[in-house]
Amino acid sequence: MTELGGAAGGQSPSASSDDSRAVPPVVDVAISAGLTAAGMVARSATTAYRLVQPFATLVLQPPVLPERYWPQRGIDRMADRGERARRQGVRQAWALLDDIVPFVVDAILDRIDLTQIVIDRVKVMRIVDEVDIAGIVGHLDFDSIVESVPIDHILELVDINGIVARVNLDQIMARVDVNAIVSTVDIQAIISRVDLGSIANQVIDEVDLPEIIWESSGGMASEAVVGVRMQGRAADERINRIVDRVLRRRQDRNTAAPVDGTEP
Amino acid sequence: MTDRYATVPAQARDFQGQRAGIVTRVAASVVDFLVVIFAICLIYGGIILATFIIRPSSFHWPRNLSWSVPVVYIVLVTAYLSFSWAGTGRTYGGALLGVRVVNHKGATMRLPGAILRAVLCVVFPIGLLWVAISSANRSVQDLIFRTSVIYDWSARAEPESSGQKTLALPGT
Repeated sequence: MTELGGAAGGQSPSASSDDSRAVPPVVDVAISAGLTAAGMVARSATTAYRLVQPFATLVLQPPVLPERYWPQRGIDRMADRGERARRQGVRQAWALLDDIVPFVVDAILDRIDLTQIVIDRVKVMRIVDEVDIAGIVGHLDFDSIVESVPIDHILELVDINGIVARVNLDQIMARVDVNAIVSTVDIQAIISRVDLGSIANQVIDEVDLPEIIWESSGGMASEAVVGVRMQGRAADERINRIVDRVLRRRQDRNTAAPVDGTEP
Repeated sequence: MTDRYATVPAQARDFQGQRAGIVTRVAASVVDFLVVIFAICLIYGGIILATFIIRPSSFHWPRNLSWSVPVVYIVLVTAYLSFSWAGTGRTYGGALLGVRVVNHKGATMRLPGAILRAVLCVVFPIGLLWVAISSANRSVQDLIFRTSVIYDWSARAEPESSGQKTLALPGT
């Protein structure tokens, strides 16, 4: 779908009419006379054929002779021979063209800048406008195309670490407006989905909170007091064991005291 | 172990609420005795100082005080112990050694019972030694008044659920 522009545009019908005005009128008269004569010959021949045809049939296919002796047979044989010669000639001509045309085309293409011609004379955007790209895309099976791509093999060939090493993350991060991103986050929705109660319980379980309270309380709860109490407790146990051994007491002491209104 | 002992160091939580042994209780009693002696010294020192200030010219070291000392001691010890036990369940020695006196219900003693127990402690202090022999770590006073002296290292004076009307005593 090429369109000739420039000089080609000069060969439009209007230009042809200008050229015809340059031809002498005698030529047109001669052409007209020739056409008239040809028409008369054709009509005469047709008329003659109509007049002669019945007689020709009698001559070529005489009913009195056997069919194999008809002159028509000789004519048919001649036609067949001529047809065979014509077909052979055509075949030889095509074979000759097959040999010559590539050579000639190559020679022509070597002598012209086809790319420049296309650039100069082909309106690519008009071609693109004519193409139904949406229809073409609609016929494509992208899933099968993607499945046919060996992505793993491609990834093996790609040096991702090298690519990342070339990336200037500081420069990228400097362009990122973190505050704007955070402002778009619905923190309340996130918090509402977090089980703060269970998290707090886990933290409390992990931390010995009573120990911290005890250590942070002052006064009587100092390390010295704890030490004295622990030593007193150890001495209590020691005395109890000695006395129990002396008294040959076999059972452990019942030191459980009532707690908040309950008898031990 | 209840939440009452949540503030107690981990190594001591196991024996909280159990009856204390002889060493701890004697140590607490010694501390209480020293507290009372110190208070008596303050009282008599104050009297002597006041006498000197009022009549410095005719001041002389008081004589015939010996008869009053036992009386003051008995009254002071009884008051100190009874109000401490009926208030928080702890004397100063008890607070220092981490023990507390509770009644047969595990609650803080009432004041009448505490007074009687304090009197018995003053009259028959040797009854404390029965703790070493008793299979339940109980002194004679504990057996008579159905009380217990328990380890209680918690910061609180008494459990909230005791329902006992307490006496607010400053310094106890």
